[in-house]
Amino acid sequence: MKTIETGHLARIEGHGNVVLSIDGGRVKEARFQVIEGPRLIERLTVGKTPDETVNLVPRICAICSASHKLAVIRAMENALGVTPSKKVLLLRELLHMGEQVESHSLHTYYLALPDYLGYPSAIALAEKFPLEVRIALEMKAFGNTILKTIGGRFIHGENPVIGGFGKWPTRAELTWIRSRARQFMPFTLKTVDLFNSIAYPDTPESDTVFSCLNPSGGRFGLMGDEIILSTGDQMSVQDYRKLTNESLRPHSFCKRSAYKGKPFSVGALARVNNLGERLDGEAGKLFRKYVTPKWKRNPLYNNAAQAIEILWSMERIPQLVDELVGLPDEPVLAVTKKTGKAAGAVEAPRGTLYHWYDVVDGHVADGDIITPTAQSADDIERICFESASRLLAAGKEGEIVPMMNLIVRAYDPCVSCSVHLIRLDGGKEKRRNLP
Amino acid sequence: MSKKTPKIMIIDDDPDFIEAVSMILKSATYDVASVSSPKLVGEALAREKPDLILLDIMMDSLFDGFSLCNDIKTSPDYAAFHATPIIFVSAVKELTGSRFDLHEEGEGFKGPEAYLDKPVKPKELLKKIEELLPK
Repeated sequence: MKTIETGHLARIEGHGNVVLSIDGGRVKEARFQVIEGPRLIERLTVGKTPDETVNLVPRICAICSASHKLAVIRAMENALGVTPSKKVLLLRELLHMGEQVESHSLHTYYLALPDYLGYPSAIALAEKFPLEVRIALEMKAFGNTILKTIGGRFIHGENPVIGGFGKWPTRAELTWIRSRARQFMPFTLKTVDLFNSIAYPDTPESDTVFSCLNPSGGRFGLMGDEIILSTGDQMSVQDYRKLTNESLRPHSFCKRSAYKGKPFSVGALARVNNLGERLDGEAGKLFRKYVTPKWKRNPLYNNAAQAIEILWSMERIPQLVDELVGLPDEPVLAVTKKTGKAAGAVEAPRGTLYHWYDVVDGHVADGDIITPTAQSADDIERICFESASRLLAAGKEGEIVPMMNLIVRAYDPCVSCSVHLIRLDGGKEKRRNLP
Repeated sequence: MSKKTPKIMIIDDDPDFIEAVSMILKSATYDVASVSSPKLVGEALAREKPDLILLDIMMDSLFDGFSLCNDIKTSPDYAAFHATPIIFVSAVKELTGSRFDLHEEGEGFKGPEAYLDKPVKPKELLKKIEELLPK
């Protein structure tokens, strides 16, 4: 028996690695090890008020803190019977677009592109690909500017609250965002062409189940109250644990999800595969131009899907501003209910993010957060296993470690969000009140 | 009394573009001034008082031209130049395959009077200038 280890996986958010056990010339096991220390966020919510919890839980991660903020707010509003106004929902969506642009441009250009152009980092790309590096820098900065304008800060903005926003952006701020999104269009279109012209290597290309939220009204989007799978199955977000069915692994602080006993994937590729026919505008045209059956069987196309989503976001931003500037500012809704429990979900850049809280007499009694990476982790392991097996059988052992890096990175995992304190008591969790 | 020769200011961080276009404009009997950095534009405008501006878009930032154009057209600091015609000149089509779409710009961005792609065709450039700056 021998092992092949990737060591620390570079250019992903957080710390993880892949270990393969080889015996008799065959891969016996692939382990996606999530070894970063737990952050104990769910436990820290216990005893806090809903408002304190909304401030606390996004600290789980700086990359998708806006998604965590929106997910906890949606869960609390569902639990406490708060119905946000149209303007609040539009502004939350605009905030979400900022995070999508910021995070996807970070992943596609800074983390993934060096793999495909044969460079060790985005900095090393600058000499030969100066325009691409400039687009990356300014696209990410634009996403950050939206986050700051709407959320109050680049990271961990505290402006979104249960029932509304503490402060509304000015008309001039909103119209500037609209103009800049339009001005970006040549660079956004180039981004889509770039990430759809890459010759992504074949992985084992086996079937994957994709899961994402199903936005209402037959739209493409990042929020919804229903879950939709590529199998055709649908369920309420309130039943999310019937999808995730979490279990524990001794080699990982990241819990694992499986639907009907099988791993599944979430993220941009899941959204675009499940909902891509709903895309309109340039994003719809380019989706139809570039999509192939490989998108459903090869996770490396997540980079291509993220580029399509950047374009969709840049087209959606002006639409949102057009609607927002015509609506009056509103006070934050009062929360009168003190007890309730519910889930809320959003599509974070790297997949569906579930938050659930049990609030009793104005304080959180229990909380549950299931992150995108925790859902995709078993599928990452499966693809690594199949890919390594194929390479080993073909006598290409030297290609295994680079391929493992490529596969894990393509999922854009956020290891930091996914870690939990786990206790292995016969593989079962001891929690009191989960749905 | 003879009419003053119109002065055109080229704002572009590409010295080769400035040199080539300066020759075209001078041969058409325009006075020419140039600025190679968006940071120097305020001072240069006050000094040169141009009648028309050729403005590059992608300089230090990919969007410097947009910001400068909006400032020149709307900022009290540039009140004397609010009516000065501006022509965008950009290599974005050559670099990305598509142009900036100015037709949908409105509130939040005051745009230029015209927009030409690089490489600029001399006849097209002079025709556009004559339209905006009748001699």
